[in-house]
Amino acid sequence: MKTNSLSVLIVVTLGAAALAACSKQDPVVATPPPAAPAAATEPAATPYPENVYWGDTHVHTGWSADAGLDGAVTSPEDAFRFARGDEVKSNTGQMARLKRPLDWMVITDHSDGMGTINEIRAGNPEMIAEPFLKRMYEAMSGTDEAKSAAATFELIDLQSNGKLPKQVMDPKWMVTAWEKTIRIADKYNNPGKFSALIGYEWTVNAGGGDNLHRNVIYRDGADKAGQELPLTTFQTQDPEELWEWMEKYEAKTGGRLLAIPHNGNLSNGRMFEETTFTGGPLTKGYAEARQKWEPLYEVTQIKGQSESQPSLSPEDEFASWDLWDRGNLNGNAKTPGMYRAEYWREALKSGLRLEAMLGANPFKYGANGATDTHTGLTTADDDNFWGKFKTVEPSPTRWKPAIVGAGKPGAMYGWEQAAAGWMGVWATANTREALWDAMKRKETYATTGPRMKVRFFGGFDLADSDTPDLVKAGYTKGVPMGGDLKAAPEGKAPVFLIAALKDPDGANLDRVQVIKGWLGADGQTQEKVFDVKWAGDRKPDASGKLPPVGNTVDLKTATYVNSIGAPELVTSWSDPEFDAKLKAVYYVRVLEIPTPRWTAYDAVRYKVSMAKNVAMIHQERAFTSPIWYTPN
Amino acid sequence: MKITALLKEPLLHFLLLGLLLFLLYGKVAPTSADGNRVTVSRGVIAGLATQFQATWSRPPTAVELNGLVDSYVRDEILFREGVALGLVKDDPVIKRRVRQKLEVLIEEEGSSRGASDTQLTDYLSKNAAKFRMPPVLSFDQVFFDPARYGDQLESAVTASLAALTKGATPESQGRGSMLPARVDQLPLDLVVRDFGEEFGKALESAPVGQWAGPVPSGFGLHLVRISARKPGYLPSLDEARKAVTREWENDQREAALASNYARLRKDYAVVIDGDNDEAAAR
Repeated sequence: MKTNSLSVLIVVTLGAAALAACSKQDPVVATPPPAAPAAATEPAATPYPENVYWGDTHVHTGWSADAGLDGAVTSPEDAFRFARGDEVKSNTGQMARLKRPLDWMVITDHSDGMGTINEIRAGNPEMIAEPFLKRMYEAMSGTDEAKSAAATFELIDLQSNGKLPKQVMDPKWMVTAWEKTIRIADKYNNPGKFSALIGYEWTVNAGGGDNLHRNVIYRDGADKAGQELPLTTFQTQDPEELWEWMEKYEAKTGGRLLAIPHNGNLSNGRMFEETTFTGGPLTKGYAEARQKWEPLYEVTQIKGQSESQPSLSPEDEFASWDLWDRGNLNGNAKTPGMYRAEYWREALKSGLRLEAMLGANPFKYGANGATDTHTGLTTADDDNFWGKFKTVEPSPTRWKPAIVGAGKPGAMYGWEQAAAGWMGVWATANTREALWDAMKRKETYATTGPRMKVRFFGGFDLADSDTPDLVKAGYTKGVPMGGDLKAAPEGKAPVFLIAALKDPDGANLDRVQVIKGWLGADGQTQEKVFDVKWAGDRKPDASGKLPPVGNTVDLKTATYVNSIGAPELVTSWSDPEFDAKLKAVYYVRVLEIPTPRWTAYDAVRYKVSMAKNVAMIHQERAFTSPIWYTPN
Repeated sequence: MKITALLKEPLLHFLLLGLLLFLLYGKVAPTSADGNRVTVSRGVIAGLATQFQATWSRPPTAVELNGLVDSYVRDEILFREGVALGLVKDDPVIKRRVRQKLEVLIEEEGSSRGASDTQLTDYLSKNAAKFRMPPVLSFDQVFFDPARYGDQLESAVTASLAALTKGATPESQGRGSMLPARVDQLPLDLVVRDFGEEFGKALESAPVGQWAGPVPSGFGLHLVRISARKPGYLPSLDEARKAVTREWENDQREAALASNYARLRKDYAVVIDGDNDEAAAR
């Protein structure tokens, strides 16, 4: 009766919160923490992160009310099985399979609407007819903690001796959606091969669709995650209260949590607004809390990218891609000025300015990529893309209908879905703990789907001669992506070691760029994109612009060839405009050569011709977490 | 449906009239003893408080608890009124939710029966392909990037193969890359993950103990020396117990859902009053 004992313990814990242990955790610093205690089955951890592990932090199954409404029937089991490489029946009855398995995944069904009433707590007559359960119910509903504790111990005793009343053993009273979700994650968690992480989405649509959603990711197993119910937006819509809830969870269970916001592009100016949720001024405390609880930001997903917007980055020739920038989640139109508080790059820059004012940076976000699929099927490959909802699973017509905000100015259409994204995590092992620790220290990068390997190190003692063994040099003499550089030694500029290796089954690489944001002496933020390494013998023109890499895409067959580009680009780079007095932030962008978009694969597969404005070719890309430079 | 269109809808007028009559009747007729009573029992209040405590790790204050109870009462009244108006009927969200709840009950009932070792051993041997452990490989590799060697690629590979065979160190050959020069005891599926399908396949049959190649991959060409290749095997139940149990339980779950539905379906006469082919896209 293993499956029931956990639920029973959860009930017990709920009734006797006073018993919970208190162990408060310190905020994490940007160095790899010691490896978790090794269990017999634990895979060996490497001294520093040698492997990148691919996964999705954002997957809804049919258990999410909105997915279910749309007809999704996939269960959490289906979602995990699909991610680890099994063939699964999709919501439209088609068989679906990833060409290559993922290494890990988080199911993030919406917390709103999760769970059913626990019948003991509610005093169900059928339950409390049994004298022991009646006593327990009374203990739980009373205020006498001693009595409650006594009932708890009695229950544990009965449970461990297999003598629980049959009403308790009857699973129909014991299971809530949350308990079941976390149990399934435990079951599918297979350290070393496939890590199944626990999570949920806290889905705030403020003021009619302003997207302030956050995914909450657990380091823990069901034993800890089951001690607290997820926070719902019925309880609060204020992110500060979410952080407060996270803090309480950690204090109570000794577990660890982090949150990842997403879709600032659909927040109508609210994701990175420079006030609190309730309109108050930002404070140092707010900035510290946000930085502590939210190490990563979801830069790319099916509902568009939140990395950069052409009007914010007019000098960036690659800023216009996968834009969902016409309205909010309900299709309500934007007003001028909203973009500024919606995109990651701008937030990284604003963060430097706010840090100068507040003494802490509220927007110190590393890079995360995820799908936000509502089909239970995590897909980010353009030639195997299963869409956002059941209604846009593969079909000849799925490119056509409006899928968000139908009939409104901000409506978005089927073809505008992005087959994106996933996150690469540089971790010391494929375990929940090692992956979570890497996310917490921001040693991550987002891609639009391709699994290219990207390294990014910075340090004042690094040199070009370190590139042949850049991993060892990077970790011993510098900091990896997500790290911090402090006060430059007199006359020195940081040196960055950068390497990108193509997806083993994907397209060649066009170029590697460094994107720099900084806070000028005049208090204004600036940005600049540097081409630092590229394929072929192209030469920048007089204005410094590198010619395009070319294009081998054949739209008649939806194919491309790796006759252009390079499989690997490795370089060192030092900022020619470095000013030791100015705060700056650097991240790497890697561009692939042009490849067919999922619409092009659909057009060939279904022999349909789509409207002229439907994008067919794109350059897939990766974004690393930044390295920040902060002068004294 | 647009609001304006909805306002013109005769059905809505009918419903509103019905509602009016219903409310009038409520004023005029004697109040029924139970029909309009919302009882907030001790159990309900305790449930609300526990739910709050489970989220916030503290009991609700009096004000918060009052709020929860008010909200409970409001839910109850509006829900009942809505149900009375027939709003539950054909609501896809409610339908889906209730279906899910029923399916969870069915699954849970199925999962409470544990499997015996005999059943699991039998399941393991019948589904051997699912549980086979992959070969484990240790090897050195030297990578040749076509973009760096251009026309010189083949001659460079040939020269390096000759040098390596004569005892040159792998570090002295090729030009280094992000790909690991030495791989120690990596299962084949992870070799495929890092080097691609084509490369993995070649390593399954490449000779052990000598330099071989060139082996092509999605990156370019490689010279490879396998130092050890442990063959794949079928694990014992004890070794694979967690995986076998998980897969067995999933089969049970799916079987329980399917057989339960088949049983229920038999009790229903389903009339499909329309033409599928006509409604389908093509």
